[in-house]
Amino acid sequence: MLLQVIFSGIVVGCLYALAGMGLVIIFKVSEIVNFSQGDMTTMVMFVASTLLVGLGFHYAWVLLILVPFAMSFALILERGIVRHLYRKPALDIIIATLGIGLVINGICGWVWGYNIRSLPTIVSGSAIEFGNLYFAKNDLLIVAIAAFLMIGFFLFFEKSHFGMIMRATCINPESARLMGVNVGIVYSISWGIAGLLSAIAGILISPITYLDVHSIDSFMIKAFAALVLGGFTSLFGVVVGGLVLGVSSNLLAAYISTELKSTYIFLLMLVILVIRPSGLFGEISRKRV
Amino acid sequence: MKETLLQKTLEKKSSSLIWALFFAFFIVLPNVVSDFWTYALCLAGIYSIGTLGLNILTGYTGQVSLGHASFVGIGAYTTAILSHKFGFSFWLTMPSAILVTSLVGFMLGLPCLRLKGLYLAVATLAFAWAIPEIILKWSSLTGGYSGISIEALRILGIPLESHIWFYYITLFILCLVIWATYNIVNSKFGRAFIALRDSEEGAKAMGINLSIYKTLAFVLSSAFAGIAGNLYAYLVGTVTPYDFGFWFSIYFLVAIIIGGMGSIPGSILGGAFITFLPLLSSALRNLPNIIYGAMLILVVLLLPGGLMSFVKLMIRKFPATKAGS
Repeated sequence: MLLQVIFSGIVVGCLYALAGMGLVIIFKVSEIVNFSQGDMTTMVMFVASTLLVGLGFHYAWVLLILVPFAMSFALILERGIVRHLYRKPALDIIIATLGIGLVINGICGWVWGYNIRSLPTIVSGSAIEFGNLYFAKNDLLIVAIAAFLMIGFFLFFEKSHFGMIMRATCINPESARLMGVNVGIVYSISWGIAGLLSAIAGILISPITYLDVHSIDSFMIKAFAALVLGGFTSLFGVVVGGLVLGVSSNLLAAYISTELKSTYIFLLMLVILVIRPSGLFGEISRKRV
Repeated sequence: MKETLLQKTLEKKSSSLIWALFFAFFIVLPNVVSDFWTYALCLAGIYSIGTLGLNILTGYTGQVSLGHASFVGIGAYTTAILSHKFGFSFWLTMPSAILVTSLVGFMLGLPCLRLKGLYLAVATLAFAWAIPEIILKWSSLTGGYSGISIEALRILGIPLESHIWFYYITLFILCLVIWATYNIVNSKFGRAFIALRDSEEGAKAMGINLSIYKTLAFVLSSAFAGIAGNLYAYLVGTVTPYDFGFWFSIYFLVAIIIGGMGSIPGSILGGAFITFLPLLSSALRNLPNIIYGAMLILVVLLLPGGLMSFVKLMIRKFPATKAGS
């Protein structure tokens, strides 16, 4: 029982971590917290539901179409609107990204309506039994895809040439520019990567829950909690934060109460923010007066 | 010199004339529109009160909150519980609602002292998610999913059956709140709030106690939300947990941004805007969100003062409208 609860916590934790990684990558590069990410994901999920259920596409095709779609959508947003927000006060950034989210949300309601939809799981079939534990095939696939992406992005940032350019931009955009880095492109690419990660998180989560214009909201609050827990600037931190959050809130639901998950998340975030605003693994940013 | 004095007196007279006309308009208004629109006007007044509260916190003090509707919800629930279960009258539920929301505002404000900008936004966002859940969980008191229904507002033992009387009460309270806000922002407190918003370090250097003023801003804004919640409960007649969700909080933020941050008339304009736009576009449920979102982006990128600065600009550009009265 305990191990089973922990496993299902890891499954959802992986998804919180993926969505949280999208937030971290944008924040690290440009200090923008993207409050519109949830609505960007919702739109991608609606497109996925049209392709899968409406047009009967196979999942492989859907992924092949959606990943470039999500990336280019995020790129267009960055190029069109977000570009003008860099170096603005935090409040302006919060308001503008919320505004982007509202517009996308309204358009989704317009195009796809307000009925609740459900998406089929990627793989179905009987669960794999291991001792007295059951692993649903879909859950195993989620963990595998998440692990692949996490390791992939760690390697990308730590080992690849472009990863190094992105890290340099995070540390100091001005000196990166002097070294010949095209900072604008780095900003755009950070949005593209975030779009990809959140789209995949959305496609993996929606078969587990359901889909309507607001279904992603409660998921995004957990991604934000993972971000707070791990620190706004640490990719490793947000993965740990997502997993800790997934497992701990599942344990809470299994042994104490299912009804107070959001309250738990609120208290956890408040405690972390007050005691250690930089999270478990983030860097403390000090503003000069 | 004489001329300018004359001009000044004239201007003063004409501005008091404008005010008198303004008030007369709002007193006559519910008598010429249908009952539905009177109800909508009451709601606009209530939202304006809530918006003024958020404007003190966000517009004047610079502390962003994504959980303002939760305070309205707490005020509404306090009113409904006291009225329904304990038979309290309006004269008791109103101060109780203010007291309870101020206390919750104080309790949230204390840990939030150390947070600013996006950290505060994220913390209040989580607060907005937690409150409906706590209301649901506490069903012995709050009635769970089905909520609580409360009786119509009674003044001196007589139930108010027409919305017109409710409208006058709301208008009166709104005027009181506007007067209070005006005095607060033009006092020592208001100047401290604005200094704190413009630069925390600068305010600290001038000897402003950040903790006291930040907490005070939280308490004031939640007290106003309590007033709005109290009136909301009486006007709508029922309260349910998800009436005051995260989206409602976003709409309050929309109201202060669109109306104008740190502007009292802007708050009224914004409160009216978020009331009437959904009613006017009821056939297109998604339209308000698109318009709100687009306006938020436009305000941030092009018009930092909100609609109110646009109005001021127009008045300055066409002085004829000002002198014409």
